[in-house]
Amino acid sequence: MPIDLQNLDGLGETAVQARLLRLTELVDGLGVGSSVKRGFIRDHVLRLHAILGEAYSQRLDIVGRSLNPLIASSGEVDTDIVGLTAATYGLSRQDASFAAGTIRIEVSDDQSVIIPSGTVLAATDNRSYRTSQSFIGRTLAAEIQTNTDRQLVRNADGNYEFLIEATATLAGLSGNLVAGTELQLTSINIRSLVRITVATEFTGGRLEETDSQLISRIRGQLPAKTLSTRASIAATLSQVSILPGLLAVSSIGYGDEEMVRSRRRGADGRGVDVYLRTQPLAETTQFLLKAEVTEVRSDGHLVWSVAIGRDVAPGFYRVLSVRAAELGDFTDLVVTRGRDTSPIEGELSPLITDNVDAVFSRYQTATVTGVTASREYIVGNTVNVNVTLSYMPGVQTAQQTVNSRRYRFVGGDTLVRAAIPTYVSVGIDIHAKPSAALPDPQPIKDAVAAMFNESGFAGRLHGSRVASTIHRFLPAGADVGSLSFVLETLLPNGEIKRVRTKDHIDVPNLPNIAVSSRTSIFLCDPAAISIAAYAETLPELI
Amino acid sequence: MNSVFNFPDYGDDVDVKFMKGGGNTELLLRVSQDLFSGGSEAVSGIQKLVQQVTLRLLTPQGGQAYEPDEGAQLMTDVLAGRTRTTEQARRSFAQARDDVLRQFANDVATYPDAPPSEVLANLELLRVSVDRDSLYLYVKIVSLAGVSSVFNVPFNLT
Repeated sequence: MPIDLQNLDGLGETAVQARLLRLTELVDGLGVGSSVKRGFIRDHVLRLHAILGEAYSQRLDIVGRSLNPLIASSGEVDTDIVGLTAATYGLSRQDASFAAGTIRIEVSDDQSVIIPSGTVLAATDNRSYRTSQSFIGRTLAAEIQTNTDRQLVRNADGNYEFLIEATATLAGLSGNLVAGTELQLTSINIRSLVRITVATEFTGGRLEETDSQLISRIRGQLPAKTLSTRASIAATLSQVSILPGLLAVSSIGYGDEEMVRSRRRGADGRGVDVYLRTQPLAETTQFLLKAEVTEVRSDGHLVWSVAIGRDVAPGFYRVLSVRAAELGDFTDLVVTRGRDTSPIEGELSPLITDNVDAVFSRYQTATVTGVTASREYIVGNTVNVNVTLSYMPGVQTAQQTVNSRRYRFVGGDTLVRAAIPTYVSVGIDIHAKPSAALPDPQPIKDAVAAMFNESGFAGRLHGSRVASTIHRFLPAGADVGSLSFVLETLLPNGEIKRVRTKDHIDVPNLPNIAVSSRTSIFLCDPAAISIAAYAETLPELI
Repeated sequence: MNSVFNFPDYGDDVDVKFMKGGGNTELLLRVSQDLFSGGSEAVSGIQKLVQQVTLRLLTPQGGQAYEPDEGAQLMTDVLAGRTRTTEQARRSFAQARDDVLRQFANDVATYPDAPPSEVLANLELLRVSVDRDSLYLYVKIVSLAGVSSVFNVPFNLT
């Protein structure tokens, strides 16, 4: 039973003694003829009763808080009971997850290569990744027999490469790793190895959901599941059957400056635009698409065009890379966003009259142009390309929900967009006495990143909050020196707004293009945080 | 109805007797009761005070969960082997006496209406007997009602 006591340690002396005093006075008041204020009965009966009573009282407080999401944030809770409470609202605690991604193995010889299951690959900062299957890079397509067989492909450098999948060895955000990072084999050798790099960013690493995060989600389930108020829109979308991991929702509606979509069509701002965040960081996935030569330049370079439909990473943020095995990475990438509002079976789509209003929504489309140096193609030729996109998952699911007859608002239309991203890079200077031990930087990076990524639609965060987050990890004699921040906001009109700051961190306030603290979130990757330590050399006082 | 208590020196509320003694130096006089079967006994009056003083002398300081001020230094010294001589034992008792008197004074502050028979007025060490295996402290207490009792607190030193 969750009410059972585990131990009698850690009770407050004052509380136990006050309870004992009350108890002795109560029993003494009965006049039973026993001496209870001092002696055996007090010491061996009432005192133990007071200790147990205090322990049960504290336990009941914890159980009560754990059962009631409205007061659960006010003190200690029981993790198991919070889980049971969540279950009554149809929720469950999100497990820890390991970042996953793909790795490119480049070798100089066109000979088969075996990567055994359990092979460990490490980055220079000690983050490591492991294969959970055996992969074989084979020289001929005809030799491919299983789904873990890969064909060696000759790349633009004249080497041979193939891709394998791996996951981080540790759960959490710190397992996320950007594409292009070099890795080293730690458990095997490959004879003709040239290099190993991250092909597709490692993403999806997450620690187990904490009690406070789960309680926050439970509270989100309390309002009615209707699209009528801001709270109920959040409750509707965060249902288990829709987006159980929804982290933050902001709804823009009638009377809000940011409701440019409805005003543009002359509807006086009616309708709702819902901005959401489903993950701490954007997901990164590689998609196999077609690229077509659209121009052969006079210098021999080719201009390629890749069409990205609305169902490819719906509402994506960025095109991280375009790569053809035989051509290498495309350069000079330019993304032009469009829209596709053609009817979808079973859904009533919102009215969108301008491409900019479709950006980061499931109706967004895009054309990506890029350049390669090859002379072997003519206009109209096509090649398969791997396009790596970053996106906030769940945009399509949420849009389907608000479009369905069951949920849709009867007085207007609803558009779902991924929250407008403001990417945060942080520089931290730590000053310490020469004798002070230097802290492990990774927990600091994780905590600072989590502070930004869990801030919802905060709009502004102050440097003092970052400093106090860092300070928890610093040993005696070490302090936060200076902080610097670089912010990059991806505006819906295609521009990138960059800001350098030191004291406070703001998202841009441009409501006329639907960018404000109501629509934009901070995204901070631990890899975008750098820490420098300096020794303080002050003269001795004594 | 059965009689509940049958004690020779009728006094105030009774406490459960849990210490045994014998001969002239017994810790406590016995007061019989037949409320509980199995020969349990109760104490009252000055014997109750003797038992409560003895309890505090035998409790190491800090040995009572959530009541760190309870107990006395004496038991700590006995367990640490610091009462091997008469002089050591007297020194240790002097400290313990201060501890016990302070705790009884605190009781009076908490329960100012306690009857004089339950209030400790003085605590005195009459004699010490120590050999290789045991230590005997002959103690006299006086209640605020003017009643006194002499008893022996034995310790096994091996």
